[in-house]
Amino acid sequence: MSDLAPFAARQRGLRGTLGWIWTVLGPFLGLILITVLFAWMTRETGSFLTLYNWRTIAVQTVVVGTAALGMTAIMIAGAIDLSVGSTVALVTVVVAMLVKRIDPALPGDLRSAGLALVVAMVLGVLVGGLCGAINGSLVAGLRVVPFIVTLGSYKVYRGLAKWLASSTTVYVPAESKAWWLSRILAPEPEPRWLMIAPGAWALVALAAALAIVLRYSLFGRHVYAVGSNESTARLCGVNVPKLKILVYALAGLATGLAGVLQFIYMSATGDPTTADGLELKVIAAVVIGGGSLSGGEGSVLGTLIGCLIMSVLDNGCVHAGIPNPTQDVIIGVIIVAAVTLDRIRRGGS
Amino acid sequence: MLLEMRDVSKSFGATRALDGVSLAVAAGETRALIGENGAGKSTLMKILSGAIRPDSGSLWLGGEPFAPRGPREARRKGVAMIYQELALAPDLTVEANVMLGQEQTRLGFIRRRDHQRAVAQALGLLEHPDIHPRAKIRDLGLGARQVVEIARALVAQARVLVLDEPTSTLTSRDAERLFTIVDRLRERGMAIIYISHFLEETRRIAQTYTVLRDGRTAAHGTLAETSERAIITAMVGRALSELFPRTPRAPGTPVLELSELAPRHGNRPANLTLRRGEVLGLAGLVGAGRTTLLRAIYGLHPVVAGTVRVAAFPDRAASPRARIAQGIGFASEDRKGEGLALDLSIEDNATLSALERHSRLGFLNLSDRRRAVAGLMESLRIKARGPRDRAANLSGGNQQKVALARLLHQQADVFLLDEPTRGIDVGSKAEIYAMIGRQAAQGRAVLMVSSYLPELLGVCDRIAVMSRGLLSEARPAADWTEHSIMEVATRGAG
Repeated sequence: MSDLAPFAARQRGLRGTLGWIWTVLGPFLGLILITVLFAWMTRETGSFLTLYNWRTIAVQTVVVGTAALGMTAIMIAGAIDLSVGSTVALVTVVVAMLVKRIDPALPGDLRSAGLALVVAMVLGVLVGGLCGAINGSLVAGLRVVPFIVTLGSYKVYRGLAKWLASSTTVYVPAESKAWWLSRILAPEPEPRWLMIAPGAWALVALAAALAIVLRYSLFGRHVYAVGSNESTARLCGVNVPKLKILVYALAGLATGLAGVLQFIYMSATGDPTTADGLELKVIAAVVIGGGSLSGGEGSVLGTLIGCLIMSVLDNGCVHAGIPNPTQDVIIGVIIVAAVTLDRIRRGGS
Repeated sequence: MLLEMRDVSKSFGATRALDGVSLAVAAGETRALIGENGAGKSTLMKILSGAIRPDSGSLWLGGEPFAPRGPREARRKGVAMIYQELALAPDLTVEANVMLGQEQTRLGFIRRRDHQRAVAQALGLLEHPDIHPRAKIRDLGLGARQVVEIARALVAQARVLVLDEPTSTLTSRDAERLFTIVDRLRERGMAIIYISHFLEETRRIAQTYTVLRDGRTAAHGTLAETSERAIITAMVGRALSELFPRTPRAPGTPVLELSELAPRHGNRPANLTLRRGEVLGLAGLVGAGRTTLLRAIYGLHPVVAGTVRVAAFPDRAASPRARIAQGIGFASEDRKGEGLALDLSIEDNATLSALERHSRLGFLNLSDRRRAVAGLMESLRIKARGPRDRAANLSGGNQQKVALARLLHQQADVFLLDEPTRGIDVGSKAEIYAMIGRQAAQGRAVLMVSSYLPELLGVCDRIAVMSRGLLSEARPAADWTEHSIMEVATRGAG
């Protein structure tokens, strides 16, 4: 084994120097490739390569992207969260129910300003954080692998959402929807100079903040260390259980925000069956963006590109008139192909 | 000669792992294969087992050319390997493991009766009828597991048996039983290659030896006619005195005191005083409890009784975090599994225990950190492209230096080093010895565990020996010899 080290070192040489650029460039080239492909396939109608369509793609990316930011941190720490979709559904239900409860009790001008919505949405984010904190505490406290813990909470949170909503959709009455609510995820933003929807800007800002925290903060370096080698982190005095709880709680806040955005995306509706399978989409996005199921790897920019690839695929298939079953097959193949290419590029292991 | 390897060479990229090595073993002969890690022993054995193919040279087995295309073919032709990390399936039974890959079947169904007979016969021959064929491997001790591996080789009708560091994890009683088995197999006409670091042990078991160094045959001959010193010199390529430079130092105030310290499993209460400016060695067999003691001091292993007094902080147990704050640093024996996060950069690894030195309000000053790491890399002569290079890209010696750089970075006063030079090249060893000497001369204290006795005798001021969890009194290194250390280490064992 040790005799092979110098050879392996030269193999990985390129990655050492340009590693970061490569991990992001790879997915980026993939994104450009499928964009060109769809543009060619839709050259007759030209409907794919329009500014409006790309603004729509941006909006369609917001929910997945926000949840994927949390998942990025969790996966870098070497864990996983399967309860993302259920948490999002739970949050939409909680927010919708809170609005229905709070709004009628408010005086007129506060109602028209949408104070109930603001309060409910903040609480919705916190519910997401609580869900994450529970996941993290169970992972750290029971020492059960994250896959199993969150497989359990995936069912529990979904069940809770259905129970709260009595298994039906919770609609917020029209008079409780403030004027600004629909603008958050409007493809054509108001004012025009925003270019993309305010919700998409929120995603960009959150992504930048997470990238900075992961790269420059003590906490961020500890996240990478725990994901890369938990024993080493413990040896170096990192409080591993506390760190895991914190990572899950923070990721839960991001998931909570994704839930709030999903609530807005569904025109202020709480739906206990929504976001089914979202967690797999999110994990796929992180992995396409260079994340690893074994931890220690992943970047915010890569994840964002991974999310865009997923959205462009969804959107492009519709514009190219590819039937839904074929879409599923294409997306499945691309996930495996992307990760396989990534492994080959890195030299096998 | 039953097995002959003639002028075997093998390169990996620009690295010449083997350069014209020859090795021959007759039926009824045990040959010790000796050499530092990285000398080429494992490459040579991988060629023999068919895992890799030589660039040039030839292999002969029983007078016929032998060019195995893979491990399966080598095994079928009668070459059996028993590795340090045993290749057994822990949840299967002894019988299933012995027959794994050599099942006797009829129409795809296992012929149980034949299996039972073959396994009973092999275990009987190895004088281990006490190992039940239906027992699960996970319930067996390490010695018994090794016997199972040898039984597998017997059922496969092996003619050449390679044992790779077989005793490094065994108790001395299990080791003695293994020697008896190896002797018996040799008398039955097997050719045995015995790889080991322990020179005294090779003398007990082998008749002839071959020393490899840097991919070449450094010496070979009959053990009875060769002194231990000559073999060591052939191994390291220089006289030992050059390897262990002494720094001027004198023991100062006590900095670490253990009183009646007992970690949970098996260890008896230990008393020890470590002073500033001192290097104290812990000798003993693997499994004697040295690592547990070190880990208990550092807070990685629970403590049931007694106290650890670090300078002015007396307490029973503490977390690694607290120990780091008290000025204690720990380097793990398991460099790849625990010591380093291999996927992270040198700078991440070297600074992980004391990141706050470069942070303000929780955010890091990366350039400040890079400067500090570059300085450490220079003083320890870590060979890499730069601080951002991944630890996985480094050689074993440089990786170990990164693990030690972490202790320098956290400005530890007390260095707890567990097998600090295991598996690294001689050049890196010399630099690590020099580093240890420098630290002691600057008034720091070092407590090191090592299984390599010349190293302990050369580097340490005092040595204590641990045997089955019992720590002896620490005596000046000059009062010990390899022989007297081994005597204490194996005392009460048996």
